[in-house]
Amino acid sequence: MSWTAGVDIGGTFTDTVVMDDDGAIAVYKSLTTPGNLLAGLLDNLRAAAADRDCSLEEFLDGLVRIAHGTTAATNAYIERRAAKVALITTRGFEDVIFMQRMLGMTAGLSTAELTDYSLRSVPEPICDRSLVFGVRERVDYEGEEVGRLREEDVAAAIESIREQGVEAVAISLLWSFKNPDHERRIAELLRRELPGVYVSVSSELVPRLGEYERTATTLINAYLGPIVAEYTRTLTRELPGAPVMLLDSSGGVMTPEQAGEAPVRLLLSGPSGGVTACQYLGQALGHGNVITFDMGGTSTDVGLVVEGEPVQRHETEFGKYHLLLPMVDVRAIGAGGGSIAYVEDGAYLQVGRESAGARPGPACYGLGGTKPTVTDADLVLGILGADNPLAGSLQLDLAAAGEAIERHVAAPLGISVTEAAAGIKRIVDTRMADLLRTVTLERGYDPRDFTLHAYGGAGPSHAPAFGLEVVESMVIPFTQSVHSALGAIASDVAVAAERALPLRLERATLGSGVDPAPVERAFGELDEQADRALAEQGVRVEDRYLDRLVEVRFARQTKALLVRWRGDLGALLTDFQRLYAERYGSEALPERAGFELVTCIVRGRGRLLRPELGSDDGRGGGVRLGSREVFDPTLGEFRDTDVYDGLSLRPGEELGGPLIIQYPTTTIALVSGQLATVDRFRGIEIRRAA
Amino acid sequence: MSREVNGDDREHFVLGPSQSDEERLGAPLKVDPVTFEIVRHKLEAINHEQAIALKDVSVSPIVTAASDFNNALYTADGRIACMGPQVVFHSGAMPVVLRHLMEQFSPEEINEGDMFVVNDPYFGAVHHPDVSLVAPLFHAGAIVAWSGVAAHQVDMGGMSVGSVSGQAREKYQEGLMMPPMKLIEGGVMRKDVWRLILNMTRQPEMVGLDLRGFIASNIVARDRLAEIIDRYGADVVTDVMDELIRYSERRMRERLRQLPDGEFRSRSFIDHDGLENRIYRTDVRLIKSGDVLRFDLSDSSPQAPTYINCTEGCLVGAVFGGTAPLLGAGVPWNHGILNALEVVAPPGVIVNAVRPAPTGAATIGQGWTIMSATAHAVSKLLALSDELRRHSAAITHGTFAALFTGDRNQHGEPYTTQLIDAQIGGGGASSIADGIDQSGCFVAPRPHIANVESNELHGPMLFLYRSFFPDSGGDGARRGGRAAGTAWTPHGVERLRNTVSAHGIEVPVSYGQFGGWPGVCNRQMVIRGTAVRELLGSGELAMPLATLAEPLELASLGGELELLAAKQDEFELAPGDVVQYTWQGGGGYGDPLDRDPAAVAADVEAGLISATRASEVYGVVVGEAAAQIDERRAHLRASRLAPGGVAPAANAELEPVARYGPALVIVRDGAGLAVACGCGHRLGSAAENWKDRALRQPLPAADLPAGILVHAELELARYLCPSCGRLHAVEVEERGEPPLHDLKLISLP
Repeated sequence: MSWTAGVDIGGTFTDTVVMDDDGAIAVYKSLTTPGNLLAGLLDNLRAAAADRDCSLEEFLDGLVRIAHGTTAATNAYIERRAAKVALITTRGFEDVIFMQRMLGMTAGLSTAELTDYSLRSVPEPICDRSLVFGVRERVDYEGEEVGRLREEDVAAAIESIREQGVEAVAISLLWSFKNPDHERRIAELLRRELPGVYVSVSSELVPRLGEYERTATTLINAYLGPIVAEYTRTLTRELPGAPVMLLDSSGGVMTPEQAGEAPVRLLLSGPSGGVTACQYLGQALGHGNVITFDMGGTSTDVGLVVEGEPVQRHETEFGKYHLLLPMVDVRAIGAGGGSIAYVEDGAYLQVGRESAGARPGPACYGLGGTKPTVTDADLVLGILGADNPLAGSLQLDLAAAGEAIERHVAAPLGISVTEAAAGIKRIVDTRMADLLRTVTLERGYDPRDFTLHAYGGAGPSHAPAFGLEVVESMVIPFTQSVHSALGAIASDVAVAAERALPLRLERATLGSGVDPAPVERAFGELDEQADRALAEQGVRVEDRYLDRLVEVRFARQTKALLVRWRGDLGALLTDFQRLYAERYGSEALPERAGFELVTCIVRGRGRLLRPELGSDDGRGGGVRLGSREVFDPTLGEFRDTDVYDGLSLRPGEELGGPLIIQYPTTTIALVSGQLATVDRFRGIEIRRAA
Repeated sequence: MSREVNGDDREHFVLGPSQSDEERLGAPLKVDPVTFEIVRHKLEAINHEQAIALKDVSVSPIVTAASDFNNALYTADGRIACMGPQVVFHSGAMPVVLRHLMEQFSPEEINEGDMFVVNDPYFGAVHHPDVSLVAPLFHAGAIVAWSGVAAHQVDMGGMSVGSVSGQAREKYQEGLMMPPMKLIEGGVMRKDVWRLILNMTRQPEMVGLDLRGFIASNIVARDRLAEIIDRYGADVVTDVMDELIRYSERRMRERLRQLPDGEFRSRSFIDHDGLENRIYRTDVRLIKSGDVLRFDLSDSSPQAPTYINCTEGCLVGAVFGGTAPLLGAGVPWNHGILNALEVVAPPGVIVNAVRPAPTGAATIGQGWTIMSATAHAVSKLLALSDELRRHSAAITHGTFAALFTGDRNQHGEPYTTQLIDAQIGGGGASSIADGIDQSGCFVAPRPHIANVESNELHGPMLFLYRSFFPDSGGDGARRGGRAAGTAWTPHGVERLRNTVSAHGIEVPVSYGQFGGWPGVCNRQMVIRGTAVRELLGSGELAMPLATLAEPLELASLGGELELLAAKQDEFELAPGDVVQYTWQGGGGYGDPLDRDPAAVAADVEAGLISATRASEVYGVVVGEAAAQIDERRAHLRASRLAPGGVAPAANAELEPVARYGPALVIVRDGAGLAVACGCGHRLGSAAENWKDRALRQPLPAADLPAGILVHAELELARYLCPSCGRLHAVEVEERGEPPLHDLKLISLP
């Protein structure tokens, strides 16, 4: 026997999904031990081994692959406890990383917070100013050397770096992506003189225009280098012989060696697993376009899969720094089950400026929280059952939830507890529906062309109430509470290679008469680079796929669109204008502006072996657990509602709303007029009843 | 909003009902709270989408990078309901634009599908490069709201590149001036108007793209609002808009009632009018009474012959901008904030100019200055409240040096840009925090500057540095943010045409507060005919960057130094010339000798201040014991007083009823109130000027901190407690004028 495992080490739980040869999946969940991230994983693996009547060693031996998402890099970055790091840059530009193009000052503030001068602040630095070394050198916009590299400046920096016990060094010079010679030379000197020090080079890691973002990305990469190396060493020690892969921010996986070279790619891997799982499941169900909706306790992530591919972005702000990094484009908002409801100025019901988080948590958790949250409202409305322990162990306290809502919302507004709870839920649900619309419309898509996949702790209980306002059908996957772990199994090896061009094209010619050779040449080299990266990670030739893309914009615009390269400049510009008109309206198409090809990008994917997702051939046979009073928003009153055991439902079963489908850690709440059909992977598809 | 002219010919801009009206404000919510919150959120989302549509399509760095634009939704009668958090000048001015529009067009002439373009400052525009496009939004044949966008354009014609010319003596010379005109009529673009605009700008492509962004942005607003109305009904949506305004107004008035009644004052200055290097005054008298705040700017200078004036739109926008981030912190920004304010300014003063006065530099000139003086006065008021003191701050980056450069770029294309690098500069310290270094314009919460690489890709220039400088933020118990600067040389072209428009070369207008010092002044220069390229090429360019005084070592550069005035008409640059300019640091807050010694030591270690500054101004030598630091500080304090120092008088124990900033207190004095130093020294009745009893010390030019210059018409003076030597104010004053009476306390709340 052999199997594949996907793991998601989250802040509260460690989830593991094990897939057998026949595609059947089993789910394991344990508590995450802070400070020992692998403890929960080992618990899960032991349980999986026991289920298969083998020892842990035998189980590890039988693993084709164990892929996992980790917060090791993310936490070290947020808590600023990674390496002591230095930066070598072009003299005169040492402050670039502190100026941040002024983007840091209000990064991360909400619209409401932006009104407050006293909240403006800069991030805690990644490296001390005294560890930024400016060397004399200069390259211009065409890649011409206009200032020679003074190696004595490098030598002095190396001396200082040695003396101060620096563990990692980032090198980021102006225009290095046009001419990397100086960066390479500095790296060579560093590696020769300081062999134990981790070195990260901007022209290798992110060869893109924009010195601030390039420097920030490279610096954070160096900062995380040593700690990620330590993490992968531990991993190899604890899971001897297991073929380990790590989930990256773009929804792909990489080997520990690759992670060691580009640890910054781990930084935003959190949401990518779930999106990849939706892509995988969507493929099996025939959903090319999926809106992914992951509603948890403190935040909600929404992403898109379009024509079978997760939508990516290349720039993002994280922890007040700005990174150039291919990543799954997920819109996160700070609202979830733990969002707190309150009344402002005696009349305004607000939800979600603050969150109760996991601790003290909602009032109904009984862990010390006294403020009413969305989860408390769900409990009062009967959507969550007081008799159904959350996450298998936490008993919910209905009285505490009611009291919190009465005291903080109902009484101040002079309405009933039920009305208050229904209001809280409606505000959150409408905001979620708005979010789904915005995420699709902003990118030029029509949400009605998408299927919604809802998961996460609060996704299944909320999505049915608003999802069909936005899309025609939605699915609550069977792996709803461990979806990220499934994504780790579903992820292919991802690599990206890119080259900043920039190439300017006149308007009038529309690309005709311009030699596409430089673009072809760039792609030729990038293909090679991406192919090599795939080979290094053990991907077989026949499993390597390369995709060529160009970032295009009208001359001097800052926002570029990603257009597929079809080998022809004319076609590229036509495609670009079509995309542009779709997104901004044809009124916004300029008549005279020229074009700029900004960056050539090759995305490589190395398909990994995995079984087809196992379907279930059983039929029918759902177990009705009983009924409870659940608030019906259309009637405006409670109504006796059937409760079914989700684990008992088999493909083909059809059930009408209103209805509660209960799982060990989550609840699906269908409203009246909806029809649930169990799909062949035991997910629940929800549509309007005919 | 109304205009009233009262008996003494002072024009009041009474921004909405300034008297609080309990019946109006206390009216119960017509919409249920859940629907209200849902619709409110949807309106906010419209603002957000509007901004994205504009930024994505626009090409001018002033829009995409400096975020010098704003978009908003307005009620049918032209009040701001909901606005985006970009440069608030624009949204604050838009009600004035809409009032003019409704005066110019009868209701029958305003139809569905129309969009109006406006840029004449005498019709509400902030200044003529700021073009507005506003659209009435209809439902069932009636206007339910307006959407609007305003943004700075790189060129609107006129006498010089960038359209901001110190040569203009009348608005007619400044460029294209459009009263409200239909750019789109019944959904169809008026090609004649479109061609008129593009025909008058040096940058038709860029302006064309920006206008298309405006149109896209208004279309987004129209479509999204229609969706919300379909779902919730027009009445609900307009009720929510009204309620949003009432909500903010209630919050503002509540805050005002927490604060004492009295008069507060601040005065700021502009050096150089484009013609001559003389001083103009912007005087803000803040009168706070109950829950109304009146800004009286009547004592400002008469209008200037050149472009440093402003008109009503800019004035209103600037007062709003100076008030909102402090007093309006956390309150949704909309017309409700304006409703609690009154602005008074007679026609013909520099802040309310009359035709045909030019106003090209209104934003970076008068508007910026009004905003700073307003924020300074408001901060004094806030400093009296224990709850609101955290919002009291010194001045952020009191100037903006607008450098326009252009001609052709290295690609041979027509090229004009305003280098927005000068946005970066010192933030003002507040009562709770140091000023931040990467601060921008006070009223632009989300600014950014372009990467050097982006500048060099499109523009014919090679940058030599972009840096912060030590000892450039205003000293104080809370230190001001550092100043920054840059230098560049033409690259790939034979010449460039430039103009520069700034102030604050000889006035440190990033004022400190309560004894905090101002940040350093702007400085701008051209170094002609240098060997910079050769030095750079051989790696010999000496660039120690150790001091603001000489970031590039001039002696080794060769060439000839040419200091630029605050305003400089068109000048050319050739290969080998270097432009270098550095900007203002932020103001400090409180006496530097009260700064936590550990914070001073950390600043020295991080290179933010020099060891010399630490010991001379802060009394801290890194590594010294606390007792030695105390001793040095006591000595420094004593030596501020008469030669040899005065022994502190034995002062009576105080029972303060309020604090005024970090070190002044308010005490009972019989039936009235009095001001005293925290040490117990009384500074007279709270109705009188406390400065009359403080020790005033003018600072001769030779004694000024490095980087601070003071114009011959002005003087820098400090005010000390005569007993303990604590520094309570550092002020820029007009020679011969009495000390500014900045606190006249009437009653505590």
